[in-house]
Amino acid sequence: MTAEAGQLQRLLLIAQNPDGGWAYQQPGTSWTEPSALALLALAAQNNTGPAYTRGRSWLLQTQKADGGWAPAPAVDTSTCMTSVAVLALADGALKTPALARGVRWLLDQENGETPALERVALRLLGAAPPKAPGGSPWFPGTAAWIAPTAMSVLALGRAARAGVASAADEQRLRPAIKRAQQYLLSRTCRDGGWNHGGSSFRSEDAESYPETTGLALLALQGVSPAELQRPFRRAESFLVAPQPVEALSWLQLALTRHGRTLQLANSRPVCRNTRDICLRLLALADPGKDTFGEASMS
Amino acid sequence: MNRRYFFLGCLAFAAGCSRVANRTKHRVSIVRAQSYSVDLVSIIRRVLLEHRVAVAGKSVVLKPNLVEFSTHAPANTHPVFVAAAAEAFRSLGAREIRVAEGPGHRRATLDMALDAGFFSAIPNFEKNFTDLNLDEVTRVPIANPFSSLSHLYLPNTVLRCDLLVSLPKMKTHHWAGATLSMKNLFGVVPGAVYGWPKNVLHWGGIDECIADLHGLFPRQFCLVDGIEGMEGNGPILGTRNAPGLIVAGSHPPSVDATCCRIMQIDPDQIGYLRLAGRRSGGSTASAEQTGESIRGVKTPFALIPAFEHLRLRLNSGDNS
Repeated sequence: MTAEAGQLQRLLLIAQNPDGGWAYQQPGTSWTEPSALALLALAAQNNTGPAYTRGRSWLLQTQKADGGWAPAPAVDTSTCMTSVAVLALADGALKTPALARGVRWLLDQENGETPALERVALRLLGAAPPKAPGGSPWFPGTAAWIAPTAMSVLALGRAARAGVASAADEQRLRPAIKRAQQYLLSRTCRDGGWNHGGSSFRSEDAESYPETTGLALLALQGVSPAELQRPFRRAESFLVAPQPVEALSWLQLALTRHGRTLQLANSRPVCRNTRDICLRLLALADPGKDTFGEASMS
Repeated sequence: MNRRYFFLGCLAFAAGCSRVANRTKHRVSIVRAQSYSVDLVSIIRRVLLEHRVAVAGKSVVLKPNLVEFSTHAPANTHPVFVAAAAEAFRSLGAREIRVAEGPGHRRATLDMALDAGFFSAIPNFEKNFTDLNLDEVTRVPIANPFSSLSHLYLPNTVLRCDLLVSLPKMKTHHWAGATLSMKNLFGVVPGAVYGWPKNVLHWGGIDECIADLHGLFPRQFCLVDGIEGMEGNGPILGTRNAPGLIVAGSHPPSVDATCCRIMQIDPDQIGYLRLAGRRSGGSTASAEQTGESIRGVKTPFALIPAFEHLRLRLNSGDNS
């Protein structure tokens, strides 16, 4: 373990709340995303001691009755934060109906095709269809975006590898992942990367972001490298300049998993919150194929 | 007087009161500030005194508009403007001043603030800043919503302050027409609950959600950074336009309507201003202007072709 990883791990352990979860910022109440990322980060550092066990208990206890996870216990609606919870829990050690319901919740969030009549109406108005098939929303019932779709691909991919879905949902996993990857490819920016994922309507010149480019590329493992040459170039171009932790971490994880050689401009970016600490620990450890492995299995 | 006449009398009285309410004029100041190097602290301090803003002993949250890492055009509220506002409130005895924002597209809020110059312009910035996307939240019901939303989870930092100060950039917006002090409140909606972007607000109706958010924060003051603004395909991809102005007031719809007139946009064509006017019984034409006249400072902002119909026409009577 590097000195930086050791220091970050100590910070993460100190930041754990008495209830077992983690806040985004200290002091604060426990939220789903930092707690699930903390579990992933600790596991990647081979630390599955008492802190990990307490964190896992917190996450399991906060699952909603509908199978999903809300962003925090104070929120009553399950959202795409379910994907990071499933990603953290689907390590093969746990095969319960509750986790299978989490997988189903994710599968049910996939946006379908916009109805034909609505498509025609929107085309007449000069607007892009609000929903593209295969993508997942941040919040149920809204449009799909890059980050929740990519996180869903990673979670469903890990669930498939760990065999935690119900028998009925097992067959839904691979087609859903494939459609989600198609959605990601359909939202590539002109420069070859990805931004938050808005349509090109009135934003055709919008540039890609490093963090979503890294995250999307991580979720596109299994797609032919020939299809990803422009995204690779765009991702590598971001690394020429120093990047925030989130961006650097997703880019590093993605390019490593795709077997690309990294040339990093900044060696030690500043972690601003718990999520940053976790992402940095994940990038430093590279948890490997088990956590962020090939998703499409095409 | 029998009961029938008494009833009719009450109705007439209520109608009269309603007309009086419709005539309520909210004060809006237009002040020249040619650049960010002029004495902005003194200018903002004078505005706050003129508007008799109760500041002493209050906790104040300054809410700038921070949307992107550096772009070719001014998309973010200038950090020097925010620093000057903080200093002006401090000089008038504010108990606590926090800067708070929750950007809608990017999650690295502090890195974005660093890139935009906030760390160097504002002393102890990180210590005095709250990332509203990650703040603790409270479920807030929306009474009589315009939008399809019945409630929102909102950050405790803005719910618990004594005064919320909206510090928007004067910009056109490719969905809402113009983004000013009311639209700036999209930034208080937490990304950790609703995502990046906060797409729930689009599905709930952009204009309707802007009007609903306005209703949830009755204690506001607005200081619009119109020193440099953005025209064309705002709020990110537009180009620079520099009216050299600060527009201020405690009634966001009146401040925004005034900004629209300066930008030569018809406020009656802006959906959220119409909705806010409907709720308050006022109209977008009811501001009491102080300082510069709109006629003297009007600065047409370029509009994308789809929004050319928003252009203020000469016979609108809005060039006072």
